[in-house]
Amino acid sequence: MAKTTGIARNDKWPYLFITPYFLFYAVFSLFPILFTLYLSFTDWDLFGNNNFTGFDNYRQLFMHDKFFWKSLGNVLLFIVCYLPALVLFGMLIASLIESRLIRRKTFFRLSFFSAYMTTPVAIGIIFALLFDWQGGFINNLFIELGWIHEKVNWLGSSGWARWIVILMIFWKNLGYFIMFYTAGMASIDTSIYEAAQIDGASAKSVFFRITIPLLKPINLFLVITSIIGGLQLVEEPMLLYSGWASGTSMTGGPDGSVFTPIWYMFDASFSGSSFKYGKGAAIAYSTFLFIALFSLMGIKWLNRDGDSK
Amino acid sequence: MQQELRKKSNWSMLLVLALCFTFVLSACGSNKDGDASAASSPAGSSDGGSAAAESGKLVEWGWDKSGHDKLMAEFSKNHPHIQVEYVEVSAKDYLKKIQTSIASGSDLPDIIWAEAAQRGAIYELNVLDDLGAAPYSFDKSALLDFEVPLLTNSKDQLVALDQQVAPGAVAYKRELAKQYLGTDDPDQLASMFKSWDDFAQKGKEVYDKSGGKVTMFASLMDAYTILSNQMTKPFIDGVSVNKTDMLGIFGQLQKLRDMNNEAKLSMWSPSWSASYSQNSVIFYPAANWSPEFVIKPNDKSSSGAWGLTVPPSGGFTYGGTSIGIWKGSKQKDAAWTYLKGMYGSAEGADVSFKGMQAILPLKSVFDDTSKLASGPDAFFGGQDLNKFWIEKVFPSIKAKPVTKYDQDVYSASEIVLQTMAQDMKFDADKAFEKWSEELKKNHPELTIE
Repeated sequence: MAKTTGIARNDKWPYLFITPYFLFYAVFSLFPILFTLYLSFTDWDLFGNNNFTGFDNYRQLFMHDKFFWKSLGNVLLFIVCYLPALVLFGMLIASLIESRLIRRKTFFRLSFFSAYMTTPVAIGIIFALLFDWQGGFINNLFIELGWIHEKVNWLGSSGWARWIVILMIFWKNLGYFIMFYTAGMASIDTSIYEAAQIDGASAKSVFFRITIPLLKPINLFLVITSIIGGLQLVEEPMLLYSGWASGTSMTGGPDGSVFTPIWYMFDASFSGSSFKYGKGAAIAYSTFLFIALFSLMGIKWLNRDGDSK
Repeated sequence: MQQELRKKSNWSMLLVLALCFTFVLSACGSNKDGDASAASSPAGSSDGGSAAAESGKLVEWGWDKSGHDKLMAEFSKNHPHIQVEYVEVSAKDYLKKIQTSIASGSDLPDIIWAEAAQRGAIYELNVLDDLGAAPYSFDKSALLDFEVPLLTNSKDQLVALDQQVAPGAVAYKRELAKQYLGTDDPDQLASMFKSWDDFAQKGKEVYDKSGGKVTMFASLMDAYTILSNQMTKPFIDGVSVNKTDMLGIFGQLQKLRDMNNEAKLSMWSPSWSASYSQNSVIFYPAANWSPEFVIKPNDKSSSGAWGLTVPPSGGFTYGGTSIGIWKGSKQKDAAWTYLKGMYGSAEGADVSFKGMQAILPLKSVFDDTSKLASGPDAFFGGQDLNKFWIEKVFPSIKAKPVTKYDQDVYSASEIVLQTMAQDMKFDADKAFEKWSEELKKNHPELTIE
């Protein structure tokens, strides 16, 4: 009884409690998001231009800019290459670690996850040093082993550059995927496995018919967040080609082969002598459109058999 | 059992405390950074308008505090009431810091630095005051002629003064020169190469004679540094790209590549730095700041192993930092006293030379060059470096006007030369095409005739 009258009197409190966070969000998140949208319709650069130009930036990007489409193609290619590998190997290794074959479970879990804990900046630099043409460890190792006779310029060839980036992202995210699958597998009721064993199911059947379908919610989450994160890829390739470790900095890698949309945004807005904030904002919003598009597509495809459990 | 639990809780307590401690320490660290940036944003308050020229607290952003301190020690003898609050900003971040300050509308420092590659961009951002106008009224004819285009913006205003002359030539390893070129005398080497074609030809002989182990240059970028700085016309005039000169440079670089004149390293990379102490490369581009900042650190132990000589087509300007006054400064008089007293007058020449052995690009300084000799340098086999720059390089030195596109031109060239170094089918025409494409990515307004 006291409750019903209490609601009318006390309904300001919930609002007061969320106000601090909401103010913070409004100033530091909402305003920048809206302001960037406005910027994308201008041609603001620091050299004096500051005019409202409507959809010019977008028209330029979508119709006349091959760098934008190339960068988009690159990130999609990367996702198509590493995502299936991550799902497959993640599940396999997670089930291996969780099985009775491995004793020191914590050690393995930690080893795989530590790659994810490494800062992307460090990953980019480490891989640049590893694959350096003249002094890199990989070249020296392969020559010692006799696998190659002449040092390969990994970072200078567009094909290899892409594989290096895919490798970096795969290496980094494997631990993350394993962690999720481990948690997912732990939550599967052991009685299901016992029932399967009693019915004489082979390990392979168990894996494909029980484990994978039951991990579907986790797969959905991982695939969608990977698509979103993958389309926003910038730190690893940018630091790979930043010039800190390998000397020469190449925006976008050789022939733009590892150029990404957000890297393009950086390049247009903050680097060199191009301070085109309007263009950068337009790139950011265009990327957002594609992220939304592909995430929706991903969700629709994963839920194609009707409502998931 | 109880003891075990207690032990466990003790350890977890310890861990929590350790974590808290680390958080506090890291917060302390960032507070220091916070303080520095807080101090730099508002310009120091003016000390009354009348004595404005002789007293005041200026804010300066720069990346060489130790050099600054030495200069201030000399400068303060002449102007004791001018104080400078020096904020350390690394050269790599400098342009971004200026850029973000402009974008957010916060204050810039009274004294702004502009590194060689960024000069054009900083001039174009329109934040430096015209030193030829009041209250400065600096006469640009006091400067050496080749300096003026380096300090002028696109509106033809002189907006900065150079910290010191930055002449460029080539450094060479004496032992390799003697072995493969027959001499290690700088004058004989200079006269051996009448043109870049001669140089390339000789380079091929060196490569063949050493069985591929020794090359003239470490990378195509090294050669590009020299060739591009020997240009007299800007990379881009207005929005028109200088196709003739760029094609010429790429053609020359293609020849150098075809004749095995370079070792395919990446300039400024760890392996490039390591090559200084290995006996695989003969020549490196070198400015007057190179011995101290590049050559000696990379090749610590070999005293007497190096020499400086003039490359084909003569000397050039390489690097250097120019310094200007912020348009919105509230202490322009004091700032000008500082700038002139350090870099823009006979008094400044004295201060610069006494503090940093820096030579200013003023005509008056070169009236009597005997005072400027630096003495024989053992590291360079007894060569007097200042004498070398003044007598051998200055007569032929070249400089070109700076543009706001300079930094992007450099990046585009880097990308293109990486491909050229590995792909023998990548010729000058393809290089120029790729180069223009890269440039037009962020500058679609550029035209190529």
